[in-house]
Amino acid sequence: MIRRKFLKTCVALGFGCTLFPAGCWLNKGPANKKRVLVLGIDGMDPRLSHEFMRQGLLPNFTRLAKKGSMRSVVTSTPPQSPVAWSNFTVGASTYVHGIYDFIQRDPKTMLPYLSTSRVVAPDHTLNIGRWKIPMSKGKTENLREGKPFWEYLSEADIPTTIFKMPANFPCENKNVNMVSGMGTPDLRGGYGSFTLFTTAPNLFKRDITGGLIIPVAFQGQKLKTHLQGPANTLEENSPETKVPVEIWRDRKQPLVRILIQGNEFLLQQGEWSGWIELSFPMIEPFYEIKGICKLFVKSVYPDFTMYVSPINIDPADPALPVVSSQDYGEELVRDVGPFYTQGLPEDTKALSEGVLDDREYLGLAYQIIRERERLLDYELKWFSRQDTGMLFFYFSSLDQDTHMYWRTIDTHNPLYNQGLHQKYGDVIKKLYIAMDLTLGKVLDQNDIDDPDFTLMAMSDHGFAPFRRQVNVNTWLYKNGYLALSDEGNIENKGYLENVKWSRTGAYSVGINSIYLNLKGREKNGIVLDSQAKYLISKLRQDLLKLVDPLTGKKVVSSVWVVPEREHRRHTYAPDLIVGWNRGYRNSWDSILGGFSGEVISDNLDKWSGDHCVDPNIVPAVLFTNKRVTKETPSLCDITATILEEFSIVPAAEVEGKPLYTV
Amino acid sequence: MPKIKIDKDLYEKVKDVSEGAGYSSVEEFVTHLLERVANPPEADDNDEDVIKRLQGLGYIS
Repeated sequence: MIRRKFLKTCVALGFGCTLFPAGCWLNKGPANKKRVLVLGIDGMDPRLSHEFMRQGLLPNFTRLAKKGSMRSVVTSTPPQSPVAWSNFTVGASTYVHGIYDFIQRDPKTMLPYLSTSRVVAPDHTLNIGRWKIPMSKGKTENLREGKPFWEYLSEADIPTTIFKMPANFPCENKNVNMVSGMGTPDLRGGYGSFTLFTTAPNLFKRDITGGLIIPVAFQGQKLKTHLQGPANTLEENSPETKVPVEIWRDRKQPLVRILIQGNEFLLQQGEWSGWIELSFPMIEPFYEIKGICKLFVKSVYPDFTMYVSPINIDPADPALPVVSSQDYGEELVRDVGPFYTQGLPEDTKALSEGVLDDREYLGLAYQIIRERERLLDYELKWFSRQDTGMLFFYFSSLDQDTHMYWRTIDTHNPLYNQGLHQKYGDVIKKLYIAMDLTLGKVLDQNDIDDPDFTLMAMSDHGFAPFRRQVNVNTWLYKNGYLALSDEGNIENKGYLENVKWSRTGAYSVGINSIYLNLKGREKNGIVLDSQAKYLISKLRQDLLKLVDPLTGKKVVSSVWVVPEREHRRHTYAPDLIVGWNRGYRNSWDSILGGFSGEVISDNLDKWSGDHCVDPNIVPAVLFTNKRVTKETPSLCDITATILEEFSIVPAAEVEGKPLYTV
Repeated sequence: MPKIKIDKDLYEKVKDVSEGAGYSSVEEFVTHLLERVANPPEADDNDEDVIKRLQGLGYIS
């Protein structure tokens, strides 16, 4: 490995690429002439689909369903995207892949982490002057266990593209064209961190999450500031890198001239830039890390405010393995242009925090859809050249935008009002229509009557309202399962920082997970193995009895006890998985170990639809050009079907059964 | 004090690097390098950093 590449893998948050162990070659042999295309439409809901089809708004989905089948599909437990798409990826449930929640905790340190990938810093660094030179390769590990279906295809030499599969970061097989999906960080190491330059910081909330607000001041017509980049882990104390930004504004015309690293351009108020390439110096002049970002000028005068998107890893020169090979990344950029590489490009946080308003957010949302369409066009061309092959292509927009716009169609949502409904009540419908047009493009380019062509348009889960939020940690405290060090400080939002572990039996981290404070497993555990079974049973019963005093409705409709065999395989697995009832979900504070005064309160966030509930409430959906004969299809069955189409016999751990031949 | 034999070409390369990095001698450079390798620094992630990174996800506040 050349030194520059070695440094890149070590430096960019300190990781590199791991290789899969050599796979089995049982399925190696001449591939048949099957072609399988799967559109992954995150969050597509079967009930909404039915309704829009009934209204005649989805002619292409209707055509596909008439040709083959449209079926509700059993989603994962819990129905969170990283869990559900992992079920699909390996054709098996949590027992095999070990992804239980967006957020999991390490019982030894109690630190939370994103469940799908882990950053491992280089073991050794050498300090030379102010520089820290890595002496070993750091790495990024994909924490999803089990064998992804594309590994079987790769072993059978079937040309395969997996575009943006969630929970697939880093991309780990150079024989498969892959772009990593949900869970891929931006260049600052977060999961979407915008920057807002403004002369009027008082117009925005002081303590926002998901980005930085940088107060700025003009000297005359000119402003000089810096855009913050990744931490320079090569330098002592890892200072943040930055690039200078200079801005001139015209007080008469709502127009700015922006200079960043030699690139100069004009933007009007309300205008988005295209992708801008950035270089963050690590060891000047020898080594730099590349990123891309977009700018949006919200206002010019008298207040100047400019939004900068999260800095995405440049797919043409990736600092981290966001593409399976640099050649593939360069090819995509050459043909389509730069594109979002962060896991979820929709900037929902910017909308929730009031940094972008609805009109601005939707402007960006449609840019993202158009960008994804261009990438799909490229991949469809590739697919059309294959005698045999597999294309999986993923869309996040429907999911993320349904999260944000459920408040416009749900009359019981605390933020709903008639004006909002009139202005934005058709956003979700338009997104379904956009997905239908996408499907239409696929139908135009492929023959769905061809028995050797299999088309599936699938989601991972459906959707439900999120009206009331439940602070599970506060509930655990008020019901005697958890103790606080300072009972006068019940509203402590810090990550489990007010928990008195010596008197705590259970706690919650993540959206659906509850853990016992188990002795020998947890850092400060006190619950004995002999007490665990009773405690779990009691917790389950009490949760199922929880009623919202405001509505009189049950808050929890089901609770799953994670079986012992899963704990033996995944020591970090939760003990209980809470299935929230329709309208409810874990509170914003509780997910990261915070507390609130009330157990249940209104959800006042624009994030107003959700699916992290009882899986029976939010089934997924499947449209396919073939007749599904299997009863109650599940996500794992779709995986088994793909393998069956290529006559591949999967390993015993695959739980799914083929949909067309059972 | 124990002595270690290394290949002459490697010694010359190490000498160049140590001079370029401003060390007063090859011994000082090699000792520094071996100390760093033998005593790796602790990971410097803390709760706040981890939580700030996670908060970029829309699902988390």
